[in-house]
Amino acid sequence: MATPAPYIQLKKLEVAYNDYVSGLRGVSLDVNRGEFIFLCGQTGSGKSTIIKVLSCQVKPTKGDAVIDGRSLASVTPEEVPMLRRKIGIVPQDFGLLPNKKVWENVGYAMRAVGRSKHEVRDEVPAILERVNILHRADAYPTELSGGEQQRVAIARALINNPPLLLADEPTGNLDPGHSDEIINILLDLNSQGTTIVVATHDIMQVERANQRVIQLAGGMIDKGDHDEELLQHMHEDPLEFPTES
Amino acid sequence: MLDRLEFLLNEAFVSLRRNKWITFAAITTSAMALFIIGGFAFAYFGLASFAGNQESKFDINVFARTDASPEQVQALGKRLEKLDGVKQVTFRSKAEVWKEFQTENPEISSGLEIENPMPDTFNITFSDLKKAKDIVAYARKMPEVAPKDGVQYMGDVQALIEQVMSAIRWLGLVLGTVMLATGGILIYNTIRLTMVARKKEMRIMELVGATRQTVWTPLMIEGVAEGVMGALLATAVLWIAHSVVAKLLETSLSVIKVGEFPLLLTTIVLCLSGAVYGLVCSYLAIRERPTEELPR
Repeated sequence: MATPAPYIQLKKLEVAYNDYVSGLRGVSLDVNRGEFIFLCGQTGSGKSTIIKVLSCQVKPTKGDAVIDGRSLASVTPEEVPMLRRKIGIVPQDFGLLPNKKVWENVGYAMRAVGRSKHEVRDEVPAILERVNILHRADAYPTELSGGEQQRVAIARALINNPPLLLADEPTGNLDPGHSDEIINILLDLNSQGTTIVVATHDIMQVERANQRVIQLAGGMIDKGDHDEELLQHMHEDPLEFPTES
Repeated sequence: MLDRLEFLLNEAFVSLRRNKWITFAAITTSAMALFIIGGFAFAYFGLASFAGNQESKFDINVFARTDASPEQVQALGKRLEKLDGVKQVTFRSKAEVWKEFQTENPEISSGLEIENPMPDTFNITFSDLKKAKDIVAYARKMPEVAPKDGVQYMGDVQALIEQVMSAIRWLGLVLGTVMLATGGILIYNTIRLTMVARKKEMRIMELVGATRQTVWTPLMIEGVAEGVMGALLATAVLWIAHSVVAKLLETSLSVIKVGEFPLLLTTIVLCLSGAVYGLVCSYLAIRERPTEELPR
């Protein structure tokens, strides 16, 4: 029986922001459907660049990134919106609209992708319930804790019921308690079949989640695949990642 | 469909409400531009129509030589009739002219026992006023026409009207262009400011997979709305200006009758112009969005 093709493939992926700054320098990686992976590394290691490539915010300079058989190197601007509807994106800064309530933030995104008011009314409560934030539906983002705001951002990323969720530092601004909540939500979504890619430097959460870990350094994969030695090293000195000699 | 339209319109009007003052500036400047162009167009066409109505008054009188024979006078009349731009040639014999003069000026002519000094006269009206000068020049060269003052022509008045019309045309064009450019820059800036103010919304729309049309259409609607609102304001001011000028002209120069203000036509023409103008300005503003901000 043939092995199914990986859901995400990075093929010698290179991203150069300009002549002097490289985001990625030849990253190759396969992620299977339904997997949960952590991309770890220092600031500037390239983890957010991978998220940006996969969400079509940055185009590969060399090599390719493939999602579900679709090459992102050759994607046209007209195709990007439809591709993004198959990907939930949770940005680092939550990206919530302060003048809209929680349910309006989610509803606004749904309206932007062509859903009717009727659909918004019907579907928003269920989406908010999935991330345990329905009880704050009428609150404004400024009235929410960091963890609650992150849950709203995840809820918004789920409006298209995407098979892939990309989260950039979802626990970056949160205390350990709220970080646990967010990772639990992501693990729960993963258990329902959603492929999850998380860029993070939150070692405690990486260790606790016990999922696949890819460590990046200087735009390249340094170590990967749930390396005990790697986790041990990260735990001891989270700012000093081992680099290839 | 209506639901979609409601969303896009709502997005556009949120921006208009948010940037109240710059929107106000853009609308009033566009209104001024359209008012100036519309006002000058009214003045130009009004004067052209007035000049057209006066064409019959810009007739010329051609006097035959007093020693010309009846055959020569008849031949002169036929040649004048054939000239390009001539509408009608009316012949009045020297006897008719003299009799008319005596009737109109009894205090001068009564008791005069002199030979009829009046010449045979042709009155010419034009089908094309622009050819009047050529006709006059040609008639002056005709041998049957009296060599001195053989052609009586109100050329100066016609030249004055043409000069005024030309001045109005140029002034309207220059002022209108300046105001259009100013209004355009303001609409452009309004849209750019909107894009800055709505950066977050636009980013979210793009991240969740909204199409470029969904992101851009509200901005285009905003530009069109500003153009149309400017046009409506310009129509209202034009209407008021028209009635004031009409009243002034009719009381001071009772001969002039100013026509009704074509409200519907003006509204349609100006609103269409304003809409196209706003659309073009907003499109230019959106098109120049830095590439790193664009959804790829």
